[in-house]
Amino acid sequence: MPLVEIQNLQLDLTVEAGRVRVLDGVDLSIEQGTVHALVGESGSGKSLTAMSLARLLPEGFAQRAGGRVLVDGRDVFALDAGALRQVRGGIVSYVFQEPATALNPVMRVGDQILESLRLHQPDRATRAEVEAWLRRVGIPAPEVRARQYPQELSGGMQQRVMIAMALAPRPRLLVADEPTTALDVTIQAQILDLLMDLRRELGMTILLITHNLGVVAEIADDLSVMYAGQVVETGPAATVMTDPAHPYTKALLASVPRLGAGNQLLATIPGAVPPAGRPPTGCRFHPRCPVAASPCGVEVPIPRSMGGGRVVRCPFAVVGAVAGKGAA
Amino acid sequence: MNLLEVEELKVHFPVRPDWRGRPTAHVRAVDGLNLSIRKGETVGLVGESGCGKSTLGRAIVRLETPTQGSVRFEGRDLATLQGAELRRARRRLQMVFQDPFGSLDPRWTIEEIVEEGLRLHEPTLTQATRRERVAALLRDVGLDPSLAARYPHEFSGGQRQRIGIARALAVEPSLIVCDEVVSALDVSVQAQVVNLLAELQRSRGVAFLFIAHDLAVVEHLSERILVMYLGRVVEAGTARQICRTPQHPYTQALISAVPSLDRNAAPMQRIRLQGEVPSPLAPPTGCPFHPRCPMAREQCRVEVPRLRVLGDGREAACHLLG
Repeated sequence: MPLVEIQNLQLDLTVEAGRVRVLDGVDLSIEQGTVHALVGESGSGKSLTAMSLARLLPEGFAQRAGGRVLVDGRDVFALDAGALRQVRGGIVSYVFQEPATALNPVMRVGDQILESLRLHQPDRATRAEVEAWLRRVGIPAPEVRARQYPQELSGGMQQRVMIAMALAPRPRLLVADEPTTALDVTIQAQILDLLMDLRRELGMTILLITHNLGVVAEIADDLSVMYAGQVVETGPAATVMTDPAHPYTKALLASVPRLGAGNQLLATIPGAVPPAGRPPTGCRFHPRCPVAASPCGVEVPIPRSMGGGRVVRCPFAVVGAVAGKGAA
Repeated sequence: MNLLEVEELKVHFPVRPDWRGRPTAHVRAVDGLNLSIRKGETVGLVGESGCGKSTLGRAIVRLETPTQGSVRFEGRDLATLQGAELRRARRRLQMVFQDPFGSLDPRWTIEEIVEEGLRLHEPTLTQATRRERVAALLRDVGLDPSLAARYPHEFSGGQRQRIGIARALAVEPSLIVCDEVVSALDVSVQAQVVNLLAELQRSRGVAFLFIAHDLAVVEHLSERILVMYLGRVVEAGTARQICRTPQHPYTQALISAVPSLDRNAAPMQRIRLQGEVPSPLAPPTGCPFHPRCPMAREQCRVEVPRLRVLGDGREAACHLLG
């Protein structure tokens, strides 16, 4: 049984203009012990999808309009406050993009890790345990660092503290929302190595949200691509990246500048992402799609299984049509 | 003659004032840097946060005052220019900034933003001519001129960067300094803006200094690339030399840290740097990279390596090379 199973999730946000549907039929399944990458451009709904796993959605502002979210067999939207608290931190932990804003600026970093231990592993909430975690995430002189405030640490160090804080209660699922986006490449490489080491050591499952397809290629087992509030393609990362089936996945991969490719023009996707909650009729990608045909503007494509774990939301998608590389 | 000639440039910022307000330390953001750009050439400048690349860009357009050294643009030292002469030089030297939200005045329409330069530098133009020029510029950067009366908040990040580019182009510069102009954009939008810059390079013959931390983007746009570390250039060469056969240990580590999209492509030997960039308040002795360098030896701790020309024409500052 997968650790996470999102079925046909529909989510509405209340904005000035009224209620808009920002997630419309999201399906996502994450197997135990895997790294599942969720990619998509700004506003595609990837962070909201991730937040729904621990129901970290602003009450009164976001409403679930349909579908289910199962984490470790529990229906997250049916839990009472106490059970929800156990899920948050105990089963699902989060690491966010900007450690500087996610850490408490007036609390020593050691105390922040201690607090997370007290909530979920009270018998292990000791200074020694905190220092062991700081050491494990690669922070030198943990006894000194534990007494410092977040602003005394560099961005890379802050992210390591965030990771220690998220992992100290030993969650089963770590949701890493753009964990390296604010960091330099050499520090990014260190943090990704660290996540992979910890995953091996602790047997963790990771949901990695990113817009960096290079990071996906390096560490993900599975990949789901989101566009305008829906998952348009999902499957094993290696095969999706070498043989993308959905026209959006293809276009997205082709528009990434590749190191060592020289200076030819990049492939672009015409037009822009539709505004949240106001998608075009039919297939949401059809106005920008190079292979759109007449039914695409009218009929909403349903997710179709293509074998090999691949599910694609496009009636024209073919797998294995291009040998090797997609359009460059 | 080169369009831009930066010689031994230093930009130091005074910090930590004592009780009398006198600085007790200096951040050496740019610490002895040479750079030249030919007419119509695109030079890429890469490096990690805090390496001084943005300060260098700002010092070139004189948003920062150099502590030492000179910036010669179109043959004249910018530091010696004042008043009308400085304004004339600035017209030829434009900058596009990273943050498309912070760099456009929210109370001005797009037309007002783009035509501001024209009002200043060509005050004799009639309003009708100015309007036409603005419309043509918006078309050139891929925006619909009928949107000229709208305000910045009505545009997406990618469109705002296009507006910033149109504003820079309005006064017909010979050099545009682009500081991380595509970093805040999504990949598909980034690709559109990168292609726009490449097209403008070809069609207008403008030279660009393209500052970014994303090596792949820089490689796409640049003929030559400079790699900075702690205020200095550690390696400089053609885009191909830097990205395919880096020689300086820092450049090698930087390139190998970029996650590759092609899993099956023979990966370059993975170099993982330990630690982080040291503080520019107290840079290390000798080679600034030696505390993190996997190949450092005794000489590196003591002696500052000078930038030397290697056999294939590139330059590198490393005792182990050349």
